[in-house]
Amino acid sequence: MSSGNASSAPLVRIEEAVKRFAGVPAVDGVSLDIARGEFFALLGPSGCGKTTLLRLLAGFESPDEGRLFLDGEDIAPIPPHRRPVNMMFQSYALFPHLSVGGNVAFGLRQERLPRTEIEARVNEMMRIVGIDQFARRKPHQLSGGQRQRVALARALVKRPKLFLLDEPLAALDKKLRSQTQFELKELQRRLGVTFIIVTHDQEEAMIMADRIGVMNHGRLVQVGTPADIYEHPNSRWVAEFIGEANILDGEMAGRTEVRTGAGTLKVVPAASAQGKVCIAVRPEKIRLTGERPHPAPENCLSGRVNTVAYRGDMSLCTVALESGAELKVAVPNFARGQSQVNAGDRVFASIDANSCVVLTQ
Amino acid sequence: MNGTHAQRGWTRRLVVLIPYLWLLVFFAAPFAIVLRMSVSQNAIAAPPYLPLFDPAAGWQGVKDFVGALSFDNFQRVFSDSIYTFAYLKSLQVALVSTALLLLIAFPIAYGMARAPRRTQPALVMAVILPFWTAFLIRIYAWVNILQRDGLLNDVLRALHIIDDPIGWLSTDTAVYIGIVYSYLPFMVLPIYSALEKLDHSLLEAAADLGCPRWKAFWLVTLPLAMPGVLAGALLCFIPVVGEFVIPDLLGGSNMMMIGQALWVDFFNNLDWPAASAIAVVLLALLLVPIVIYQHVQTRALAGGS
Repeated sequence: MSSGNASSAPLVRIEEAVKRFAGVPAVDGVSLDIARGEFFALLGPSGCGKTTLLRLLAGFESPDEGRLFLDGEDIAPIPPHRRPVNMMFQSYALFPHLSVGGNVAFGLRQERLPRTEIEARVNEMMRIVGIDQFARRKPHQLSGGQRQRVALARALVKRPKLFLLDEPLAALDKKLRSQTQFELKELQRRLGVTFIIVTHDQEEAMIMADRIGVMNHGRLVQVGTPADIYEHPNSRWVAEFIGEANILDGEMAGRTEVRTGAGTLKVVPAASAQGKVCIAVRPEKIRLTGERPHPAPENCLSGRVNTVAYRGDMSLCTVALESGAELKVAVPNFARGQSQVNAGDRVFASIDANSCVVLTQ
Repeated sequence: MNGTHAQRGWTRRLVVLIPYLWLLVFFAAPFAIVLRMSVSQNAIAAPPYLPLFDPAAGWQGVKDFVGALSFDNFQRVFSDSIYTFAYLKSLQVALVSTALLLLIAFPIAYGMARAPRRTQPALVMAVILPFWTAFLIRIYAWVNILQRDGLLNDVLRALHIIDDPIGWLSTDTAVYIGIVYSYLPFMVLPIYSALEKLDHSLLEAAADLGCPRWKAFWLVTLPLAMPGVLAGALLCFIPVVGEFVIPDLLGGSNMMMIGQALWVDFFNNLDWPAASAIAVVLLALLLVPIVIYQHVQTRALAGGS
């Protein structure tokens, strides 16, 4: 069906898409390619336009500017009920008057497939997601997790080219959510369908997605693998939005040093960095020691532990530096029953030059 | 602790008791009186029926009383074709009116539910606004509109749709107009309330699954509006069967609904027992749609399993 050429081309191509509501742009010039079979996450705070972008792809909104391609075809004029795209709604939007089986079969019935084929595909999909024993129940007789699976089966049974998931796990409790994250990933790998998931939960995006598109104010601010985005944020905003980060404002002093309020820090030479910059350092990339380490690390700042927040696997400390700046530091709890650091301890914070991300915006 | 718990249980039981008490005082007791009259005989006396129960006669009095009761009135109601026709006419009028009401009310309710949210309260207000004028005055207004030199004929002639005035009044058409006009809010409001609760994302989900808009209406909107449709139909059908004022004022002399038959027996013939028997049979007839409705409701609640 798909030639070699087609499979190397992106499945989804969004070109300069703009969508405004009452003149206010919700999606503001987004361009994005998504590969066949990819698990892509749109991540951003609420109101950043990620759901609107998803609804543009589903066909519930039409773009004011720009173009949308699916498999090389311009889908802007195609109404939602003719797009080979299926969506899982945040509310699940299960039909309350139909049984689980009726819900899952709904989409195939619209395709006028033979009854036996519908039945076979519905049963297979219900077995895959583990709801076959509830086939005759109504949605209101199911738990939240079961309803989520019905919504999943109802969309996937259509064998869409593209599957859109709008905050699919938001309604589940934490334990079920993390279990479902792995199951979704496994399901995606097994079915080979391209998934685009919208989430505001960065951990969820990082666990599941091959690539993440970080959105803010209707714009795509960074696209990359989870590791790219975490280790190489391209802006102060991304560094602060994804995970924890210490941000130190400063000025370039030569190619490998930045003068900050906390002292002069050695950094890996950055090509374009000049003038005013800021440095982002992840809390887990800072080592605390009671004595000045030998041999001397590339960067070493001294200070006093202010607070210690115990989180089980690690403790998150704040260290007041002599310069007055404060650093967040994650200290792993190696040993049982005793904290590595205590409030009031005098400590030295060592940071590799490589761990200092120089940000120009 | 225990005391407050018991107290709360007691007040809760009292709250549950209120509707039962209401039913007892305003339905069961009057109905018992009507039932007792329906098995009595007509008499020129006060009250105008026999037998009367004499508590002073003791056990013998009870025996005499029960022995004098009879089902003659029911036999008459079932054997006299006037009553049979009146029942059938009432059912026919109620069925046709309910169907007309559904056809007119559904689009209105649908339009209201799809209107911008902030205009909806005003629309609901508009639907119930006619209640601000007394029912009887509104029906008399229709007499004025429908009579030979009334407003309707004037308008139709001004528009050159008709040349000679039509005698609308005293026809079945006039009765249907009156009923549809009077009962419209009772049909619109339950359907509106069902449609207004409909989650718009269900229609998006239907479209997403390959269902065009017109089909989603049949597969999603209509089934979910069904509780409202059923409630509205019941709310109109049952009172229309027993309707008296509208057919009496707008209908012709050949139109005799069961409410009119009851009126004639009660006030013209002063035959209270016969009128009571008519009422009892009417109630039994109306139990059928109520039982069906109850059955449908319980099944919908229980789900498919």
